[in-house]
Amino acid sequence: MVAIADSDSEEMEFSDIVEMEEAEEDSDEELQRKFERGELKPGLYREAEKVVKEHKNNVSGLKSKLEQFRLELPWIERLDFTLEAAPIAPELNAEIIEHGQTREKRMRSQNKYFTLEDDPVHNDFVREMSFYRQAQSTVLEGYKKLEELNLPTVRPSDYFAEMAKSDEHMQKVRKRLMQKQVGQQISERVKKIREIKKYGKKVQIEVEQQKHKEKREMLEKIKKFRKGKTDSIDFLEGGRSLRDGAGGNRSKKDLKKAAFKRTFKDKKYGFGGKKRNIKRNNIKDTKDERPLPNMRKPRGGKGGRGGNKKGPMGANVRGKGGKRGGTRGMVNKNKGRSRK
Amino acid sequence: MGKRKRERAEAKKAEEVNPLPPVVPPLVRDSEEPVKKKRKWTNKQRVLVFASRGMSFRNRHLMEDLRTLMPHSKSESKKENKDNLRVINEIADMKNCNKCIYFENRKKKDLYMWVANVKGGPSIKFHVLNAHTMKELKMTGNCLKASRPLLSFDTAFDSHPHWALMKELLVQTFSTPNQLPKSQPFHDHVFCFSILDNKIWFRNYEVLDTDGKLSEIGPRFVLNPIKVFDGSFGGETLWDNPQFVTPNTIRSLKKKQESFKYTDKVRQKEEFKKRKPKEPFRGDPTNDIFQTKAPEEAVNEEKQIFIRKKV
Repeated sequence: MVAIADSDSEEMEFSDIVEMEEAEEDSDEELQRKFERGELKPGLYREAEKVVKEHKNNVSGLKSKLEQFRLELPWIERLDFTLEAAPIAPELNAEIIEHGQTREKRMRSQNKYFTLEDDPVHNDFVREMSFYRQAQSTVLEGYKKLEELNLPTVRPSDYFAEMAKSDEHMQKVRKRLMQKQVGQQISERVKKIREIKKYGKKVQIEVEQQKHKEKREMLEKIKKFRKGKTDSIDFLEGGRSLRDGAGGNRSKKDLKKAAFKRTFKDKKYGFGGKKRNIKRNNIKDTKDERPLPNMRKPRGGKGGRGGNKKGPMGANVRGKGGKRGGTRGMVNKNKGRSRK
Repeated sequence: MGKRKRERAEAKKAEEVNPLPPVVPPLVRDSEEPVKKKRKWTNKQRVLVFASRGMSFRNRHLMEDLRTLMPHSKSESKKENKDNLRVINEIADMKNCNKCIYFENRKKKDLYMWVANVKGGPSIKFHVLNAHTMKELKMTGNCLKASRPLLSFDTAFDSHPHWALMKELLVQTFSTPNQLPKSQPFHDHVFCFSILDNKIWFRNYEVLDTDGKLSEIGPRFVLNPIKVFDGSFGGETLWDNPQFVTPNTIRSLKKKQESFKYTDKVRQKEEFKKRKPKEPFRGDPTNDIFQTKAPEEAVNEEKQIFIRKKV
C-alpha cells in the first residue's frame, strides 16, 4: 500500500514513504512486522496454525496393495514388457538432425534469439522418436518370444477382417498422403524451373554482352585502320576467312552465278553508270544498213530535196510540217471556231 | 510345377509361417451331445468404459476409440454428476465387470480419467491432457479391431512403488485376455506407456513388419496422475502427486498475471508523479568554461575567440 503525498511544495523521498507506512498502526502487515521484530506484548495475539500441504507417500501401503491385487499370470496372458528404448537407427538420427537444421534455418530468419533447445516443434519430434524407439524394442523382443511359442505375429497383407478404422477412413488418409506427395512434387518442379530460368537468363545476358564486345572491338580496329594508326588489315581478313569457313559448302555453279552477277552490276552501275545508246566510231556502225526508224518520203516544194535523202539537207527533211503532211502552202488557222 | 500347384504350395508355406488358429467346427455333430466347455479363457477381465455428462466432442471420441481397441470392454450410458462415485462400483457389479475406466468431466473443459479395480483394489485418478483421437488424418496406421496388443512400459515404471502399482493396474486393464472369444489372432499393434516429466504418455502403434517398423494408429493422450486410492473410487490415499496443479489454479494464476499488468502500471504512474522534479534543471554556468568549438565552425565574433595557432 503506497500513500500518496498531497502537498505540492515538498518532494517525497523514498524513506519518507516507508515512514508513513510504518505510521499505520493497525494494518495486518504492520502487525506482522512488529511480531517479527518481537515488539508485540505476549497475550495480545495468537499464532495462526501453519498450513503446510502434506503429500502422502505410503510406500509400505503401496507395496502391500500391489501384492494384494496382483495376478500371477504367465507372460502370455499379459503380453507386457518393461524395456529400455531401442538404440537410435542411423537413419532416424539423420532425420532428427535434418529436422533440427531445417527448423533452425526457418526460424532464424524470423527471430534472431531462436534456440533449438527451446523450440517446441523440434522437441516434440525428438520426443516422438523416443517413444517410437521404446515401442520398437518391445516389438523386437515380443516377436522373438512369440515365435518361440509358435504364435502368429505380423498380420499378413491379405488377411481380411474387421479393422479398428473403416475402409472409407483409410481411403481418406491415403488421399491426403497422395495430395501431400503431389504437392511436394509440384513445388519441386516449380523450383527447378525457376532455377533453370535464372541460369538461362544469365547465359543469355553473357552471350549478348560477348557479341557487343566483339562488335565494339571490330569497329575500333576499323577506326584505327582508317585513321592510319595500324597498317595491317589482318583482322578483317581473319574475320573474312571465318565468314567463308562459316559459309560452308558452296557449289561451283553458285560461285559462277555470283561472279556473273557481280560483273553485270559493275557494268551497269559502275563508273557513273552506262551511257545510253553509245555509238562508237567503228566498223560496226559504218556497215550498219538498217533503216532509220520513222523515215518518210518528203512532199511539196521544199520536197525537192526529198530525192536524195541522205544529202546534207536531206537528212533534215523531217521538219515541222512534215508531220502534218501537205499543209505547207496553205495554213488553215482555225482559231477556236469550228464549223459544224 | 504348374501355376496352380505353385500357388497351393505357396499358400501352404504361408500357413506354416503364420498358422491360423483352428476355428473350424467339426462337419457332423450329434445334437444330444453336450457342448464341450471351452476352458482356455481363464483370465476373465471385463472393463466398464463410460463417462459423466458434459463431455466435449474430442473426449467423447477418445472414449469411443478406447472402446473399439479393447474388445473386453463394456459401455454404459452417461452418469449424472449428482451421484457420488461409490455408485460406480454397483454399476460395474451389475454389468459383471471387474475393472472400470470412468471419464469425469468438469466445467466442460477438464477431463479426469479414473482407472479402478472394482473389487477391493486400488483406483487411480488421472488428469488427461493433449488428447488426439484415432480419426485424425495424421494417424495413418490401422489394426485389427480385436487383436491382442503388446504392452510396452518404460524402465522408469520400476523405479518407485507408485509407478509399479500404476503399471500393474494398467496391464490388467488394457491387455486383452488370452483366448477371449472375440479376440483375433495376430499381434499387430503396441500400446506404449512412457514416463516423461512425471506424466504417463500413451501411444498406439501398428507393427508393419518384423524389423520393427511402426506407424501410429492413435489415440494418443497424456495422463497426469493425481492420487492413488486404496479402495475403488474412494478409500485412503496411498500416494498423491506433489507436482500436480489443478487446472483451476492454473487458470486463476493466468488471470492474476493479467491483472498484475494493470496494478503495476498504476503503481508506476504514482511513483513517477513523486519523482518528477517541479522545476527544470538549473544549469551550472561554470560548465561553459571549457566549451570549445572547432575554429572552422566558428561564426562572426567567435572567430576571435576560437583560434587555431599555427605551430
